[in-house]
Amino acid sequence: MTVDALPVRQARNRTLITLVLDTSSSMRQTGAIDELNDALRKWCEELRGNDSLQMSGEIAMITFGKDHVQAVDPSGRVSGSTPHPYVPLRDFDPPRLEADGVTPMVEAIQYALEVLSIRRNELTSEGVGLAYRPMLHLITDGVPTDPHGNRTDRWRDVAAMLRQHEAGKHLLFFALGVRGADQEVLTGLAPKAWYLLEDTDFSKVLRLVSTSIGSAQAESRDAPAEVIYEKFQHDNRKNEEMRRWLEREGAADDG
Amino acid sequence: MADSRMERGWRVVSASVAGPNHASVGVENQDSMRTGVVGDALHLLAVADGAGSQPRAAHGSRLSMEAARDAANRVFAAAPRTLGEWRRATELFAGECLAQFDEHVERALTPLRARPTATGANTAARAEFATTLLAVVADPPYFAYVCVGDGFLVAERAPGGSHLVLSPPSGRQTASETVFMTSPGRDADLRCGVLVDPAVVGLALCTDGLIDGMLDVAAGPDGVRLLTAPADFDAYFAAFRAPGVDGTELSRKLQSREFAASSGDDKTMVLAVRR
Repeated sequence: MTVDALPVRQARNRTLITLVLDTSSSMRQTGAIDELNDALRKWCEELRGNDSLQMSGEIAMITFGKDHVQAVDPSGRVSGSTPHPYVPLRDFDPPRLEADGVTPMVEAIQYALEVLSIRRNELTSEGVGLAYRPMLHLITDGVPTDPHGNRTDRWRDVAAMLRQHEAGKHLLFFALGVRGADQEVLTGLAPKAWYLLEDTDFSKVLRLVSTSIGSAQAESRDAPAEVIYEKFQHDNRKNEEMRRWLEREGAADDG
Repeated sequence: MADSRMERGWRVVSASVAGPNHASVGVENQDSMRTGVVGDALHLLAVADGAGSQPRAAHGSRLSMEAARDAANRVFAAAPRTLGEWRRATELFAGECLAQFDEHVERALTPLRARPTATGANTAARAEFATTLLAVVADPPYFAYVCVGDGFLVAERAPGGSHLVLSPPSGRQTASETVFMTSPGRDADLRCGVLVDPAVVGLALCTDGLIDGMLDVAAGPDGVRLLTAPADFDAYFAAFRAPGVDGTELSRKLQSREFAASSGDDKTMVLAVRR
């Protein structure tokens, strides 16, 4: 047998990525939902270049707004709510999301934690471990509301729960807001890992998701959440500097 | 230095490559390895995996290799002759690896602590050198092993094929439970022993970046999932036993796209095969 033909097994441990996506009516009114859909498709293509993540990654999409809170099938095969929220990343083919309704952000985060816990238990019972700490990414343009559309402060309870998960090294939580999101909510939910963009550039938001995955992978899996968040901030600054430099260089070349 | 007795009939090849997670962001390979003659013509085979979260982990993994070498030179200055002597020497070797590592880290820390930083006193700490260690001192058919952390050891028997003789901890949710040479719980985690088997014709020492790519999971009694060395692990021993196969091929293999897809971690293997 040649060295090239020596057997190599596929990744067994999983990397769980959970997107918690705002699909409330404000996303429709501003046209942001279309930008999000386009950005998701582009991001899906970009992820195909990451061999390691393609083999180990599983992704879930929890939406809040249209149809209240639900897990949609990231492979796009099942319409509506899916009983199997996580699919292998290599099957990721994001369905087109629609926006409507109020903003049950709190319930969505709680539901995301629930489906994540179920998936972890399933993997454990199958003898499959986690390659990296599970990551939850909240992406929103609004503030959490109650069923009547009134702003609610119940996110503070969820924030306390998230800190416990982080301290136990069970979870990394990122709060990524675009124009319309509330800074107090984002910083409260993710004090060390929040971003608020001035526009609705969801491509940039998803670049932040990619950066956060890379930061978590580059750090040791036993690192405290704060260390990974610091690396995420550092990596993001570096990426932005590089992007600006490339833009300047490109502009100079054009000139 | 003279050859070891092992070298007369065995071939040792080794490779250590940065995982894609580190390579993509320009972080150095934090694994280390060392092979060579130690003590009274015995042979050291060793690998270490620096903890990615620690700023001096790569340095730590190199220090653990130096510690294993120094410990082996000291303990095996006279080769053990009986199983009893091997057992006693192995116990001493394990303790000496830890002691030497502590000394090396302390020596590395002293100048660091003396160097003030912009924000005041330097607070460089021992934990920053976190690393695992898997070391074997070989004088076939005797193989003394010492392990702290999640490295793993596969032995090939003829007849019998490949066996996982030292397994990484299984059942963990993530590597957050990994014990390092700098961990308070390292003494409890330390595993050491002597393998005595004239039928052993191959040894593979690996860091945890190779767990997914090279090991299988099987259901054990009472449903517990156990890691095993698959039958086709033998192919690795056979490939490098074959005349004409260059040792650098192992490095090329570990850098292959297949291995990159199996894990983003750094990957290190020391492979010894009886010719």
